[in-house]
Amino acid sequence: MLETRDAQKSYKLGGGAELVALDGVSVQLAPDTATALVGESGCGKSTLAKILLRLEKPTGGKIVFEGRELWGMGSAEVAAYRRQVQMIFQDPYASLNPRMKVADIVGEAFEIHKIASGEDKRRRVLELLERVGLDEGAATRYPRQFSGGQRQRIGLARALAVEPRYLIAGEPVSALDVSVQAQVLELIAQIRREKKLALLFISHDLRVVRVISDVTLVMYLGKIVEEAPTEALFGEPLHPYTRMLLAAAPIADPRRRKKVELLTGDPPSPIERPDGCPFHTRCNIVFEPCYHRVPCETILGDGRKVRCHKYE
Amino acid sequence: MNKPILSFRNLSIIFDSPDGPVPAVRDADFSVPQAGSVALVGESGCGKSVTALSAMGLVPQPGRVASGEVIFDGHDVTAMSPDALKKMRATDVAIVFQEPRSSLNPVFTVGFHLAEAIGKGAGLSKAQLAARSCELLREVGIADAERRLKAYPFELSGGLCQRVMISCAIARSPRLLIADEPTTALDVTVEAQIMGLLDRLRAERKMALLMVTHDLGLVAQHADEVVVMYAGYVVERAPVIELFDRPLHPYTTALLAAMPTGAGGQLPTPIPGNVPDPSRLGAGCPFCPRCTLADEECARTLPLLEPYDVGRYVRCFKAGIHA
Repeated sequence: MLETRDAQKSYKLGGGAELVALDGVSVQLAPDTATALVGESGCGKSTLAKILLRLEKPTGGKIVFEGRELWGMGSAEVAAYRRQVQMIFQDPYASLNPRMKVADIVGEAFEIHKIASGEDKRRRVLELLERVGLDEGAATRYPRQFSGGQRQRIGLARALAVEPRYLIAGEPVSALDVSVQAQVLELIAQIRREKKLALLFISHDLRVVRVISDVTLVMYLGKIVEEAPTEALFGEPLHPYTRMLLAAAPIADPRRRKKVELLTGDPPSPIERPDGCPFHTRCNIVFEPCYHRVPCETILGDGRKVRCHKYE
Repeated sequence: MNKPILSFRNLSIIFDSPDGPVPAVRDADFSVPQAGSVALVGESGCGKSVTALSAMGLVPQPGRVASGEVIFDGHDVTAMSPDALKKMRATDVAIVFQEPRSSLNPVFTVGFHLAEAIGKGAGLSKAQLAARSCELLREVGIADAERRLKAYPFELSGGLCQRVMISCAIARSPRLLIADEPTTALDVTVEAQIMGLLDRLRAERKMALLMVTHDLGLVAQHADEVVVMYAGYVVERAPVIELFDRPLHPYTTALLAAMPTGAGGQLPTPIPGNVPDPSRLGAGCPFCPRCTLADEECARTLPLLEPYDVGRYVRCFKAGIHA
C-alpha cells in the first residue's frame, strides 16, 4: 500500500505570498487497483504525483509505503522504492532523451538497478518492446523516428523494465490522437491487469477515466473533494464540483445536445484561496456555512467520501 | 440549407520537399453555409488544418495550392492579390488557433492586441477604443475587463488567453470564424464555456464556423455538418445526426468506435495501424490497408466522393456496409 496522510505542499513565493498546492491530502493506492485522479489545471494533481514519486518533499503530513515513511528512508531503501513505483508522462516528446537509442532508454534501468547486463539485458529489452507492441527494429532507433503514440509505448516499456508494482501515469494519452489514444489506453489497461499493477491515472478527461479506473478521486484547489468507486461516481456524482465537471464534458450524441451556459468562471488562484469551502465561488448550491467554514470529509459508505457542507 | 459563404472546390495542396512533391490535400470539395457550423475531423496529418488555413490564404511554406479553388463570398481566395487578402482577413474571416498563449504576442498587453484587432480604420479616439475593447472582452465572458486590458498574456490562464483571442477575432464581426482545435489545450469546464460562447456568437451575429477538431464529442454538440478527412481526401460528408446514426465510411465507423464515450466502462476500440505516409499512397483507396472491408478492387482503384442519400457524400465502394 502506498498512501499519503494529510499531505501538505506549499511553495513560498516572493512578497510573502504562498502557493498552496496540496492542502491535507490523504489518498491510498491499493495493489491491483486503478485509481483515477481528476481535476482542472492547477488543482494539485501533478504535485500529488511528484510527492508520491518522492520527487518533491511535502511541507507537512506523511507519505507512507508499506509502513515506511518515504522521507525516513536510507538511500538503498529509496532505490528499492524507485523499483516499486514508476511513472509515465504526458508529453512523449519531452520525456525521452533525444540522444539515446530506444534500447539504451529502456535498458538504462537494468544497469542502474543492476538487474541485467550484456546479452541478458538485450534480450529483456526486446521482450519489453514486443510487449508494448514495438518491433525489434525499434531498439536501434532514436525517439525522433517515432510517432507520439509509439513514444508513449517506449515510455511505458522503460517504466516496466524494473517490474514495478505501482505505475503513476500523468495524462498519458492527452497529447495523442483519438485512435492512438484508444491503442495506448488499451495497452495500459492490459498491462495493468496482467501485472496486477496499482495504477494512478491522472487525467482531466472524464471519458477516459471512466473506462480505465476502479476508483476516482476528484481534486479541487489542493483538496480531494470526492472519492468513489468510478461507476458510482459517474452514476451519481455527489459533489457540486464533480457534477460541474461531468456536465461540462461533451456527449458524443448529436441528438442529446446540452444547453451549456456554464458561467462558472475559472477556479480561484492557489495563491489567493477563498475562505470557507474552496469551491464556494463557483458552486450553484452554495449556502451560509460555505462562506466561513471548510467542509469536513463525510464518509457515506460503499467507499464514497465527499467534502461538502450539504452532506455533513 | 443557406447559401455557402465558403466553398472548397476540388482543392489540392502540395508540399514541395527534397524528395519531390507531397500531396497534403487532394481534391477537397465541400462548403460552409452562411451562419452554419462545419466540423473538419480526422487523425493528425490528414490535411484538416491545411485545408482550413487555405481559406485565409495561409497555406504554410513549402506548401502551395496546386489546383482547385477556395471561394469566399464569390471570390477565389487562391487568386486574390495580397491587398485583397489583407482586407478579407481584416474584416470578413478570422481564425483562432489551438495554443492560445503562443498566438498572443508576449510583450504586448491584452489592450494592445484588441486595439490592433479593432484597427485604426475604425477611427476611434483612445477613450472610445478602450470602451470598445472592454465591450468585446465582456462579450466573451471576461468580467473585470478594465483590469484585464492592462494584463500581459503570461498573467492570464489558458482559458482567458483563448477568450482574448476570440474577442480579437470577433472585433470586426467576421462572417466566418475558423477555429483550429480551439479548446484542445483547455480544461473541460473552460472548453464548455468557450464552445457555448462560439454557439452564442454564431446565433447572434450570423457568423459561420469552420471548426477543426479530433474530438467527436465537440462535433456532436456543436456542428451542423461533418467533413471526415483521411490522408488528404474527404472520405465522408454528412449532416451531424446522420453521421453519428449511420456512418457510411469504414473510417468514420472506426473513428466513432475509437472515441472514449465513457459509457458502460467500455474501452474504446483502437483503429489498427497508422495513417499512411502521404507521399507513399498506392493507387487504391488510402484507407485500404486498415480497412476490415477492403477487397481487391479497393486496393486497385480510388473510389470517388459520391452522393449517397440526401445531403450525404462518401468515398467508398462498400459505403454503408458494416463489418
